[in-house]
Amino acid sequence: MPTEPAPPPLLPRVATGDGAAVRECLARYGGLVLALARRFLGNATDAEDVTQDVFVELWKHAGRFDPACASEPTFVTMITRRRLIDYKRRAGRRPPLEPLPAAVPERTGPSPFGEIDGRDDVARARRALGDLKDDQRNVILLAVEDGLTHEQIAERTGLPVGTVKTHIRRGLMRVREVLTGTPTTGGNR
Amino acid sequence: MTADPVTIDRLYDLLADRATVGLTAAEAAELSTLQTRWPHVDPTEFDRAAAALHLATDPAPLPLPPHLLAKLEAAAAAHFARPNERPAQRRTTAFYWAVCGWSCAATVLIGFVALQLSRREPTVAEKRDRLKADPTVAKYASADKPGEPNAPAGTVVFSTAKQQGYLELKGLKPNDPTTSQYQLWVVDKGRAFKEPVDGGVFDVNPDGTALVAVRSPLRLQGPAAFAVTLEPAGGVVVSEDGKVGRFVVLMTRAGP
Repeated sequence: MPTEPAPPPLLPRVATGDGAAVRECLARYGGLVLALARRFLGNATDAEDVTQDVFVELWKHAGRFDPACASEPTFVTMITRRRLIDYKRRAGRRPPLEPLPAAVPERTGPSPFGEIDGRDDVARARRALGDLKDDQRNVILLAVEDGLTHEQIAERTGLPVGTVKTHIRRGLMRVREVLTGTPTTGGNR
Repeated sequence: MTADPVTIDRLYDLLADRATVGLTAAEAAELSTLQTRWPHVDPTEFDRAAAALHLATDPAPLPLPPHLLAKLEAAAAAHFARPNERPAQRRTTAFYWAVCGWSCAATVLIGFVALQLSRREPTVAEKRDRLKADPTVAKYASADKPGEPNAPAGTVVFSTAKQQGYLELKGLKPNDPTTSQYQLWVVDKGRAFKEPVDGGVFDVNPDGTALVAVRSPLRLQGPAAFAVTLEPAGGVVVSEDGKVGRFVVLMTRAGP
Protein backbone atom coordinates (compact mmCIF):
# COMPACT_ATOMS: atom_id res chain seq x y z
CA MET A 1 0.00 0.00 0.00
CA PRO A 2 1.51 3.36 -0.88
CA THR A 3 2.46 5.52 2.06
CA GLU A 4 1.32 9.10 2.33
CA PRO A 5 4.22 11.53 2.47
CA ALA A 6 4.94 12.72 5.98
CA PRO A 7 3.62 16.20 6.71
CA PRO A 8 6.23 18.77 7.67
CA PRO A 9 7.19 18.63 11.33
CA LEU A 10 5.45 21.00 13.68
CA LEU A 11 7.81 21.07 16.60
CA PRO A 12 10.31 23.56 15.14
CA ARG A 13 7.43 26.01 14.77
CA VAL A 14 6.08 25.13 18.20
CA ALA A 15 9.49 25.94 19.66
CA THR A 16 9.13 29.50 18.39
CA GLY A 17 5.78 29.90 20.13
CA ASP A 18 3.76 29.74 16.91
CA GLY A 19 0.16 29.52 18.18
CA ALA A 20 -1.17 27.89 15.02
CA ALA A 21 1.51 25.21 15.25
CA VAL A 22 0.64 24.60 18.90
CA ARG A 23 -3.02 24.04 18.03
CA GLU A 24 -2.09 21.83 15.11
CA CYS A 25 0.25 19.87 17.35
CA LEU A 26 -2.58 19.24 19.80
CA ALA A 27 -4.81 18.13 16.96
CA ARG A 28 -2.15 15.88 15.48
CA TYR A 29 -0.77 14.26 18.62
CA GLY A 30 -3.33 14.82 21.38
CA GLY A 31 -5.30 11.70 20.55
CA LEU A 32 -2.15 9.62 20.24
CA VAL A 33 -0.80 10.72 23.60
CA LEU A 34 -4.14 10.12 25.29
CA ALA A 35 -4.41 6.64 23.74
CA LEU A 36 -0.90 5.65 24.80
CA ALA A 37 -1.57 6.91 28.32
CA ARG A 38 -4.96 5.26 28.55
CA ARG A 39 -3.60 1.84 27.71
CA PHE A 40 -0.38 2.19 29.69
CA LEU A 41 -2.08 3.40 32.86
CA GLY A 42 -5.42 1.63 32.43
CA ASN A 43 -7.21 4.60 33.95
CA ALA A 44 -8.92 7.48 32.16
CA THR A 45 -8.36 10.10 34.88
CA ASP A 46 -4.66 9.36 35.20
CA ALA A 47 -4.35 9.31 31.43
CA GLU A 48 -5.75 12.82 31.16
CA ASP A 49 -3.43 14.07 33.91
CA VAL A 50 -0.40 12.64 32.17
CA THR A 51 -1.51 13.97 28.79
CA GLN A 52 -1.36 17.47 30.24
CA ASP A 53 2.11 16.80 31.67
CA VAL A 54 3.29 15.44 28.34
CA PHE A 55 2.30 18.51 26.41
CA VAL A 56 3.83 20.88 28.94
CA GLU A 57 7.06 18.94 28.52
CA LEU A 58 6.64 18.95 24.76
CA TRP A 59 6.31 22.74 24.71
CA LYS A 60 9.49 22.99 26.76
CA HIS A 61 11.53 20.56 24.70
CA ALA A 62 10.14 21.16 21.21
CA GLY A 63 13.38 22.87 20.25
CA ARG A 64 15.31 19.66 20.89
CA PHE A 65 13.50 17.74 18.18
CA ASP A 66 16.00 16.58 15.58
CA PRO A 67 14.44 14.89 12.53
CA ALA A 68 17.79 13.24 11.83
CA CYS A 69 17.48 11.23 15.05
CA ALA A 70 13.79 10.31 15.12
CA SER A 71 10.54 11.03 13.40
CA GLU A 72 8.29 13.54 15.08
CA PRO A 73 5.72 10.95 16.26
CA THR A 74 8.57 8.91 17.75
CA PHE A 75 9.93 11.98 19.53
CA VAL A 76 6.47 12.74 20.92
CA THR A 77 6.11 9.11 21.99
CA MET A 78 9.50 9.18 23.73
CA ILE A 79 8.40 12.14 25.82
CA THR A 80 5.06 10.49 26.47
CA ARG A 81 6.66 7.26 27.60
CA ARG A 82 9.02 9.01 29.99
CA ARG A 83 6.11 10.75 31.65
CA LEU A 84 4.05 7.56 31.76
CA ILE A 85 6.84 5.54 33.34
CA ASP A 86 7.61 8.31 35.80
CA TYR A 87 3.95 8.75 36.67
CA LYS A 88 3.42 5.07 37.27
CA ARG A 89 6.51 4.79 39.43
CA ARG A 90 5.71 7.85 41.49
CA ALA A 91 2.14 6.85 42.03
CA GLY A 92 3.26 3.37 42.97
CA ARG A 93 0.43 2.13 40.89
CA ARG A 94 0.25 -1.19 39.25
CA PRO A 95 -1.56 -1.73 36.00
CA PRO A 96 -4.47 -4.10 36.12
CA LEU A 97 -3.67 -7.71 35.49
CA GLU A 98 -7.22 -8.37 34.36
CA PRO A 99 -8.25 -7.48 30.80
CA LEU A 100 -8.59 -3.79 30.11
CA PRO A 101 -12.03 -2.28 30.68
CA ALA A 102 -14.41 -2.27 27.79
CA ALA A 103 -14.09 1.50 27.58
CA VAL A 104 -10.69 1.08 26.00
CA PRO A 105 -11.24 0.84 22.27
CA GLU A 106 -10.07 -2.34 20.66
CA ARG A 107 -7.74 -2.00 17.75
CA THR A 108 -9.71 -2.04 14.55
CA GLY A 109 -7.96 -1.74 11.25
CA PRO A 110 -4.93 0.33 10.48
CA SER A 111 -4.01 3.25 12.65
CA PRO A 112 -5.04 6.67 11.39
CA PHE A 113 -1.48 7.63 12.23
CA GLY A 114 -0.40 5.74 9.19
CA GLU A 115 -1.56 8.80 7.32
CA ILE A 116 0.60 11.27 9.12
CA ASP A 117 3.84 9.61 9.73
CA GLY A 118 5.93 8.34 6.90
CA ARG A 119 7.70 7.00 9.98
CA ASP A 120 10.57 5.04 8.63
CA ASP A 121 11.79 4.31 12.14
CA VAL A 122 8.41 2.86 13.08
CA ALA A 123 8.28 0.72 9.96
CA ARG A 124 11.72 -0.64 10.77
CA ALA A 125 10.70 -1.28 14.38
CA ARG A 126 7.66 -3.15 13.14
CA ARG A 127 9.82 -5.35 10.94
CA ALA A 128 12.22 -5.98 13.82
CA LEU A 129 9.26 -6.88 16.01
CA GLY A 130 8.10 -9.36 13.39
CA ASP A 131 11.50 -11.01 13.40
CA LEU A 132 11.33 -11.78 17.12
CA LYS A 133 10.18 -15.13 18.43
CA ASP A 134 6.58 -15.21 19.61
CA ASP A 135 7.36 -15.28 23.32
CA GLN A 136 9.93 -12.51 22.97
CA ARG A 137 7.47 -10.36 21.03
CA ASN A 138 4.73 -11.01 23.55
CA VAL A 139 6.97 -10.06 26.46
CA ILE A 140 8.27 -6.86 24.93
CA LEU A 141 4.79 -5.72 23.96
CA LEU A 142 3.52 -6.31 27.49
CA ALA A 143 6.36 -4.12 28.73
CA VAL A 144 6.23 -1.39 26.11
CA GLU A 145 2.55 -1.14 25.34
CA ASP A 146 0.91 -2.13 28.60
CA GLY A 147 3.62 -0.90 30.94
CA LEU A 148 3.73 -4.09 32.99
CA THR A 149 6.61 -4.71 35.37
CA HIS A 150 8.95 -7.65 34.97
CA GLU A 151 7.18 -9.47 37.76
CA GLN A 152 3.74 -8.87 36.28
CA ILE A 153 4.89 -10.10 32.89
CA ALA A 154 6.39 -13.18 34.53
CA GLU A 155 3.12 -13.83 36.31
CA ARG A 156 1.12 -13.41 33.15
CA THR A 157 3.34 -15.46 30.85
CA GLY A 158 4.68 -18.03 33.28
CA LEU A 159 8.25 -17.17 32.32
CA PRO A 160 10.96 -16.61 34.94
CA VAL A 161 11.64 -12.95 35.71
CA GLY A 162 15.19 -13.30 34.42
CA THR A 163 13.91 -14.55 31.07
CA VAL A 164 11.47 -11.66 30.91
CA LYS A 165 14.29 -9.17 31.45
CA THR A 166 16.43 -10.87 28.83
CA HIS A 167 13.63 -10.87 26.26
CA ILE A 168 12.98 -7.15 26.81
CA ARG A 169 16.63 -6.24 26.65
CA ARG A 170 17.35 -8.30 23.56
CA GLY A 171 14.23 -7.06 21.83
CA LEU A 172 15.14 -3.43 22.47
CA MET A 173 18.70 -4.05 21.38
CA ARG A 174 17.48 -5.62 18.17
CA VAL A 175 15.24 -2.65 17.40
CA ARG A 176 18.00 -0.27 18.39
CA GLU A 177 20.38 -1.97 15.98
CA VAL A 178 17.83 -1.82 13.20
CA LEU A 179 17.16 1.87 13.85
CA THR A 180 20.75 2.95 14.14
CA GLY A 181 22.18 0.51 11.62
CA THR A 182 25.00 -0.33 14.02
CA PRO A 183 25.59 -3.50 16.01
CA THR A 184 25.66 -3.25 19.77
CA THR A 185 29.17 -3.14 21.21
CA GLY A 186 29.60 -5.74 23.92
CA GLY A 187 26.45 -6.80 25.70
CA ASN A 188 26.47 -10.33 24.39
CA ARG A 189 24.96 -11.75 27.49
CA MET B 1 36.78 -1.39 20.41
CA THR B 2 37.13 -3.73 23.34
CA ALA B 3 34.33 -3.35 25.81
CA ASP B 4 34.19 -4.44 29.39
CA PRO B 5 31.27 -6.86 28.93
CA VAL B 6 30.21 -6.88 32.55
CA THR B 7 30.08 -3.14 32.83
CA ILE B 8 28.51 -2.48 29.48
CA ASP B 9 25.97 -5.24 30.05
CA ARG B 10 24.94 -3.43 33.20
CA LEU B 11 24.74 -0.17 31.28
CA TYR B 12 22.46 -1.79 28.70
CA ASP B 13 20.37 -3.38 31.44
CA LEU B 14 19.80 0.00 33.02
CA LEU B 15 19.05 1.70 29.70
CA ALA B 16 16.55 -1.04 28.82
CA ASP B 17 14.93 -0.76 32.24
CA ARG B 18 14.73 3.01 31.98
CA ALA B 19 13.02 2.70 28.61
CA THR B 20 10.42 0.24 29.87
CA VAL B 21 9.86 0.22 33.62
CA GLY B 22 11.91 3.19 34.85
CA LEU B 23 14.72 3.33 37.37
CA THR B 24 14.99 3.80 41.09
CA ALA B 25 16.98 6.81 42.23
CA ALA B 26 19.88 4.52 43.05
CA GLU B 27 19.76 2.94 39.61
CA ALA B 28 19.60 6.36 37.98
CA ALA B 29 22.73 7.39 39.83
CA GLU B 30 24.44 4.16 38.83
CA LEU B 31 23.46 4.78 35.21
CA SER B 32 24.84 8.27 35.39
CA THR B 33 28.15 6.88 36.60
CA LEU B 34 28.29 4.22 33.90
CA GLN B 35 27.48 6.75 31.20
CA THR B 36 30.60 8.69 32.03
CA ARG B 37 32.57 5.50 31.46
CA TRP B 38 30.87 4.68 28.16
CA PRO B 39 30.19 8.06 26.57
CA HIS B 40 29.99 6.54 23.07
CA VAL B 41 26.72 4.77 23.98
CA ASP B 42 23.84 7.07 23.10
CA PRO B 43 21.62 6.83 26.17
CA THR B 44 18.49 7.78 24.24
CA GLU B 45 18.66 4.95 21.72
CA PHE B 46 16.81 2.49 23.94
CA ASP B 47 14.14 5.11 24.64
CA ARG B 48 13.85 5.71 20.92
CA ALA B 49 13.62 1.98 20.22
CA ALA B 50 10.87 1.59 22.83
CA ALA B 51 8.99 4.57 21.39
CA ALA B 52 9.24 3.22 17.85
CA LEU B 53 8.07 -0.18 19.09
CA HIS B 54 5.18 1.44 20.89
CA LEU B 55 4.11 3.21 17.72
CA ALA B 56 4.56 -0.01 15.78
CA THR B 57 1.64 -1.44 17.77
CA ASP B 58 -0.58 0.96 15.84
CA PRO B 59 -2.24 2.71 18.77
CA ALA B 60 -5.63 4.00 17.74
CA PRO B 61 -5.82 7.65 18.84
CA LEU B 62 -8.65 8.58 21.16
CA PRO B 63 -10.72 11.70 20.64
CA LEU B 64 -9.68 14.45 23.04
CA PRO B 65 -12.57 15.30 25.37
CA PRO B 66 -13.48 19.00 25.07
CA HIS B 67 -12.57 19.70 28.70
CA LEU B 68 -9.12 18.17 28.21
CA LEU B 69 -8.53 20.06 24.97
CA ALA B 70 -9.49 23.29 26.75
CA LYS B 71 -7.00 22.53 29.53
CA LEU B 72 -4.26 21.73 27.04
CA GLU B 73 -4.86 24.95 25.13
CA ALA B 74 -4.91 26.96 28.34
CA ALA B 75 -1.68 25.33 29.50
CA ALA B 76 -0.05 26.09 26.16
CA ALA B 77 -1.19 29.71 26.32
CA ALA B 78 0.18 30.06 29.85
CA HIS B 79 3.45 28.41 28.91
CA PHE B 80 4.17 30.53 25.87
CA ALA B 81 2.99 33.72 27.56
CA ARG B 82 5.93 33.56 29.96
CA PRO B 83 8.72 35.81 28.67
CA ASN B 84 11.47 33.23 29.13
CA GLU B 85 9.49 30.61 27.21
CA ARG B 86 9.37 32.70 24.06
CA PRO B 87 12.13 33.11 21.53
CA ALA B 88 14.54 35.93 22.17
CA GLN B 89 13.29 39.25 20.95
CA ARG B 90 15.09 42.52 20.46
CA ARG B 91 14.89 44.80 23.42
CA THR B 92 14.00 48.43 22.93
CA THR B 93 16.64 51.08 23.35
CA ALA B 94 14.76 52.61 26.28
CA PHE B 95 14.67 49.24 27.97
CA TYR B 96 18.38 48.80 27.34
CA TRP B 97 19.29 52.12 28.94
CA ALA B 98 16.97 51.51 31.84
CA VAL B 99 18.75 48.23 32.50
CA CYS B 100 22.13 49.99 32.26
CA GLY B 101 21.05 52.66 34.73
CA TRP B 102 19.81 50.14 37.21
CA SER B 103 22.96 48.07 36.71
CA CYS B 104 25.16 51.05 37.58
CA ALA B 105 23.13 51.79 40.66
CA ALA B 106 23.23 48.15 41.64
CA THR B 107 27.00 48.05 41.20
CA VAL B 108 27.47 50.96 43.60
CA LEU B 109 25.12 49.36 46.09
CA ILE B 110 26.86 45.99 45.79
CA GLY B 111 30.23 47.66 46.41
CA PHE B 112 28.91 49.28 49.56
CA VAL B 113 27.35 46.08 50.79
CA ALA B 114 30.51 44.12 49.97
CA LEU B 115 32.57 46.53 52.06
CA GLN B 116 30.26 45.99 55.00
CA LEU B 117 30.21 42.24 54.56
CA SER B 118 33.99 42.00 54.38
CA ARG B 119 34.15 43.01 58.00
CA ARG B 120 32.42 39.89 59.31
CA GLU B 121 32.53 36.10 58.99
CA PRO B 122 30.96 35.04 55.69
CA THR B 123 27.70 33.12 55.81
CA VAL B 124 27.27 29.66 54.33
CA ALA B 125 25.56 31.21 51.31
CA GLU B 126 28.49 33.54 50.76
CA LYS B 127 30.99 30.72 51.07
CA ARG B 128 28.95 28.71 48.61
CA ASP B 129 28.81 31.62 46.17
CA ARG B 130 32.57 32.09 46.40
CA LEU B 131 33.11 28.43 45.67
CA LYS B 132 30.69 28.59 42.74
CA ALA B 133 32.90 31.25 41.20
CA ASP B 134 35.77 28.77 41.07
CA PRO B 135 35.93 27.58 37.44
CA THR B 136 37.06 24.09 38.42
CA VAL B 137 34.14 23.41 40.69
CA ALA B 138 31.74 20.63 39.68
CA LYS B 139 28.01 21.24 39.75
CA TYR B 140 25.27 18.73 40.40
CA ALA B 141 21.52 19.10 40.12
CA SER B 142 18.37 17.06 40.53
CA ALA B 143 16.26 16.34 37.46
CA ASP B 144 13.43 18.69 36.59
CA LYS B 145 9.97 17.41 37.32
CA PRO B 146 7.69 19.18 34.88
CA GLY B 147 4.37 20.14 36.38
CA GLU B 148 5.68 19.72 39.93
CA PRO B 149 7.08 23.10 40.90
CA ASN B 150 7.10 22.17 44.58
CA ALA B 151 8.80 18.80 44.20
CA PRO B 152 11.99 18.29 46.23
CA ALA B 153 14.96 19.62 44.29
CA GLY B 154 18.57 20.34 45.01
CA THR B 155 21.93 21.47 43.75
CA VAL B 156 25.46 20.81 44.92
CA VAL B 157 28.68 22.58 44.11
CA PHE B 158 31.81 20.67 45.01
CA SER B 159 35.52 21.18 44.53
CA THR B 160 37.52 17.97 44.69
CA ALA B 161 40.74 19.97 44.87
CA LYS B 162 39.54 21.96 47.86
CA GLN B 163 37.44 19.14 49.33
CA GLN B 164 34.79 21.74 49.86
CA GLY B 165 31.17 21.75 48.78
CA TYR B 166 27.69 23.00 49.53
CA LEU B 167 24.25 21.51 49.21
CA GLU B 168 21.14 23.60 48.63
CA LEU B 169 17.67 22.09 48.78
CA LYS B 170 14.09 23.20 48.46
CA GLY B 171 10.70 21.55 48.56
CA LEU B 172 11.55 19.18 51.40
CA LYS B 173 9.16 18.35 54.19
CA PRO B 174 10.47 19.96 57.40
CA ASN B 175 11.77 17.32 59.78
CA ASP B 176 11.45 16.96 63.53
CA PRO B 177 15.11 16.89 64.63
CA THR B 178 14.25 14.84 67.69
CA THR B 179 13.06 11.94 65.59
CA SER B 180 14.45 12.31 62.09
CA GLN B 181 17.10 14.12 60.13
CA TYR B 182 18.06 14.39 56.52
CA GLN B 183 21.37 12.81 55.57
CA LEU B 184 23.58 13.56 52.61
CA TRP B 185 25.34 10.76 50.75
CA VAL B 186 28.13 11.00 48.22
CA VAL B 187 28.52 8.47 45.43
CA ASP B 188 32.24 8.80 44.98
CA LYS B 189 34.46 7.79 42.10
CA GLY B 190 36.32 4.57 42.71
CA ARG B 191 33.95 3.30 45.36
CA ALA B 192 31.22 0.73 44.89
CA PHE B 193 27.88 2.35 44.39
CA LYS B 194 26.51 0.51 47.40
CA GLU B 195 29.12 2.15 49.58
CA PRO B 196 28.16 5.81 49.50
CA VAL B 197 30.12 8.19 51.70
CA ASP B 198 28.28 9.89 54.53
CA GLY B 199 28.08 13.61 53.78
CA GLY B 200 26.58 14.64 57.11
CA VAL B 201 23.14 15.08 58.65
CA PHE B 202 21.13 18.29 58.66
CA ASP B 203 17.71 19.75 59.32
CA VAL B 204 15.40 21.53 56.93
CA ASN B 205 14.05 25.01 57.55
CA PRO B 206 10.31 25.46 58.11
CA ASP B 207 9.97 26.66 54.51
CA GLY B 208 11.42 23.38 53.23
CA THR B 209 14.82 24.79 52.29
CA ALA B 210 18.31 23.97 53.47
CA LEU B 211 21.78 25.21 52.65
CA VAL B 212 24.57 23.21 54.25
CA ALA B 213 28.22 22.40 53.78
CA VAL B 214 29.21 18.94 52.59
CA ARG B 215 31.03 17.21 55.43
CA SER B 216 32.85 14.06 54.41
CA PRO B 217 34.97 12.03 56.81
CA LEU B 218 36.93 10.71 53.81
CA ARG B 219 38.79 12.45 51.05
CA LEU B 220 36.50 12.35 48.03
CA GLN B 221 38.08 11.35 44.73
CA GLY B 222 35.48 12.94 42.47
CA PRO B 223 31.81 12.57 43.30
CA ALA B 224 29.53 11.13 40.61
CA ALA B 225 26.33 12.02 42.43
CA PHE B 226 24.89 13.26 45.72
CA ALA B 227 21.76 11.92 47.33
CA VAL B 228 19.66 12.90 50.31
CA THR B 229 17.73 10.45 52.49
CA LEU B 230 15.55 10.88 55.55
CA GLU B 231 16.94 8.89 58.45
CA PRO B 232 16.48 8.52 62.21
CA ALA B 233 17.89 11.47 64.16
CA GLY B 234 21.67 11.41 64.07
CA GLY B 235 21.79 9.60 60.74
CA VAL B 236 22.82 6.07 59.93
CA VAL B 237 25.92 4.31 58.75
CA VAL B 238 25.85 2.22 55.63
CA SER B 239 25.29 -1.32 56.73
CA GLU B 240 26.80 -4.37 55.13
CA ASP B 241 24.00 -4.71 52.67
CA GLY B 242 24.54 -1.14 51.52
CA LYS B 243 21.03 -0.06 52.43
CA VAL B 244 20.16 3.48 53.33
CA GLY B 245 16.79 5.17 53.39
CA ARG B 246 14.89 5.96 50.24
CA PHE B 247 16.36 8.83 48.26
CA VAL B 248 14.45 12.07 48.70
CA VAL B 249 16.58 14.00 46.23
CA LEU B 250 19.25 12.77 43.84
CA MET B 251 21.66 15.20 42.24
CA THR B 252 23.81 14.12 39.33
CA ARG B 253 26.57 15.92 37.49
CA ALA B 254 25.32 19.03 35.71
CA GLY B 255 28.54 20.81 34.86
CA PRO B 256 30.98 22.18 34.10
